[in-house]
Amino acid sequence: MTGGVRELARLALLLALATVIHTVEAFIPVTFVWFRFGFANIIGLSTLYLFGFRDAAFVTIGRIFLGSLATGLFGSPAFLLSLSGGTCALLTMALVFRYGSGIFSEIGVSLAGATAHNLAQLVTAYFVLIRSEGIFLLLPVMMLTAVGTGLLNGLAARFFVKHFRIFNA
Amino acid sequence: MRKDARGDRLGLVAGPNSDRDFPGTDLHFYVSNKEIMISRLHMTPADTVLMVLLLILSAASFFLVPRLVLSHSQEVEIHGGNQLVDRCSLTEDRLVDVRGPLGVTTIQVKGGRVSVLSSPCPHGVCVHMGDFGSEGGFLACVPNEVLVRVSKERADGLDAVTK
Repeated sequence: MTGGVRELARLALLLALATVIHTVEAFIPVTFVWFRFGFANIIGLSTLYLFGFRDAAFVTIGRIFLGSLATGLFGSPAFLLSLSGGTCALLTMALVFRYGSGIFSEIGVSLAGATAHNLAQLVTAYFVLIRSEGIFLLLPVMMLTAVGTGLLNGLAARFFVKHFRIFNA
Repeated sequence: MRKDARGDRLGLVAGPNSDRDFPGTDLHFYVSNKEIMISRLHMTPADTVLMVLLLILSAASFFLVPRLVLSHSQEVEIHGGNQLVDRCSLTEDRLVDVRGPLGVTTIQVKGGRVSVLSSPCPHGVCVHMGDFGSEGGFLACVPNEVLVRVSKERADGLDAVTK
């Protein structure tokens, strides 16, 4: 019973953290209005390493809904972009983690996730926002950003997992 | 062992036995702490291969995507009202006057670029839309019902497909 409560509290903590990162990220000014870097994936990735896929999905979907409620963007194109980006990133990371955790470290998993995140956003933007092939001119830029955010997210998740384990040892 | 753990709190100093600092934890995380780590970031070879692959892909897409997406058409289409008024080449400089409900809109083709030179519309949005060339795009003067565009040539010989 206490184990269940502990687990619940930890999950709530992770969800709260992810929501805060998601919300704060909305304030970062970027040129491509509704695109996101996906820093909130740090928590999704960490949860994947700490508690597995089910909890990671809970945290990711939960933070997208809560975060978009907090920023007032619920139901807007921005919400759709983060929803598609978040779920695709999570699925990719889960697959790489499941079948490649022997050869990839967090950084590799995160790189794959960040790339999926940005590509999913771009494809969603094509279908939802701008029905023009011209949007794919952003593809190289998005892929380059994905390498940067992937590296950062991977390192951040590594620190996070390490410290989380120290405090919960 | 907890004493040693303080040393690599930041994760940068990774000893060979750092996976023993946290009993009962799984070893996925410590893959990078074995001999196969190759850099300060503690990336595994697979990580590096993935990253280099992604970098190469994005570098390649810098050159490939514009080739696929841009139109490379040399033909300007000018619409007035709902019909095609004129079709002209980007390569020869010329001025085209289009008569609309408000008056005459002048379109300029110069040096392979097309722009709206003047228009009788109240805000002049079309004049400030700038110019474009064979990369494709459109200029519109909504009040005067003029549309200028360079559109993508379709490989299958069709003009457009709607869904």
